[in-house]
Amino acid sequence: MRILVVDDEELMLKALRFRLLKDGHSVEIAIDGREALKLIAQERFDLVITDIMLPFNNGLEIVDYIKNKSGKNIPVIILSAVGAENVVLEGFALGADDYITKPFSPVQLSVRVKRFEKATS
Amino acid sequence: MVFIPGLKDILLILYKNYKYMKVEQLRLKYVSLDYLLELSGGDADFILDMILTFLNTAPGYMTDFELLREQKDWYKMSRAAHKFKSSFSVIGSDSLTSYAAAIEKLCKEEVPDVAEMDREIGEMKSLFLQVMAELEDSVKKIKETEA
Repeated sequence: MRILVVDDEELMLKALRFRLLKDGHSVEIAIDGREALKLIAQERFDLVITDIMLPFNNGLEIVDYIKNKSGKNIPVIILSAVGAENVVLEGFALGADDYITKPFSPVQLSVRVKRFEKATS
Repeated sequence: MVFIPGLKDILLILYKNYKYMKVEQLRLKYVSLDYLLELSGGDADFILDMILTFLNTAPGYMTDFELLREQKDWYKMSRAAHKFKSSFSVIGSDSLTSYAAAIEKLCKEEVPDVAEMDREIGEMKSLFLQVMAELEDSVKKIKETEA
């Protein structure tokens, strides 16, 4: 799968990228919401994994754009910190498909991403 | 076609296993590398890269954070503390993660308790320096295997 990962934190980005590449996916990275929106508009992705708290446009705006404005049918997984459940609910209301808490469990990430692989294949 | 490893491949695998074993054997007081060990799936170079990234970026974030405290910019401080939480948890310091969470919470209060916040920041900074020193030492030990 071609996956866009959006996070402004270098360690988290490296961790996600490493794990997803290990699972055989192709990974693109955006370090802020504005860059992510541009990439989503211009390129094709099978899945977007996005943090909520981002510079310029936040993760909820990204979910809203994908699900309600872009006309693209891309699954979205929200990355959230523990204790930010209210924001996750907002994400679900906008159409997010799943969420993962940070720091993510590597096995859980693999399994959750695989669900979408099956759905898109 | 069956892949038959040559001597060079075997030596490389043995070396990588040895390096990973050295990481596993590190006995650390302030951080736990369990998460990175799990995430790495046996790749010591990845762990080293993550530690080096933390060592290179975290001091700058801490300086920015202290500047925000001087400016009493509670909103930006809460965002910075929020970001600290995941960096600290990835690198394996539950105590630093707890300090960051407490500071984030204090910053979000209508009237932040500045004295309490400064106490938390002071303790976080002190532990942060110990974590940095311990990680720097770990990098040296891991790199000894490269000699």
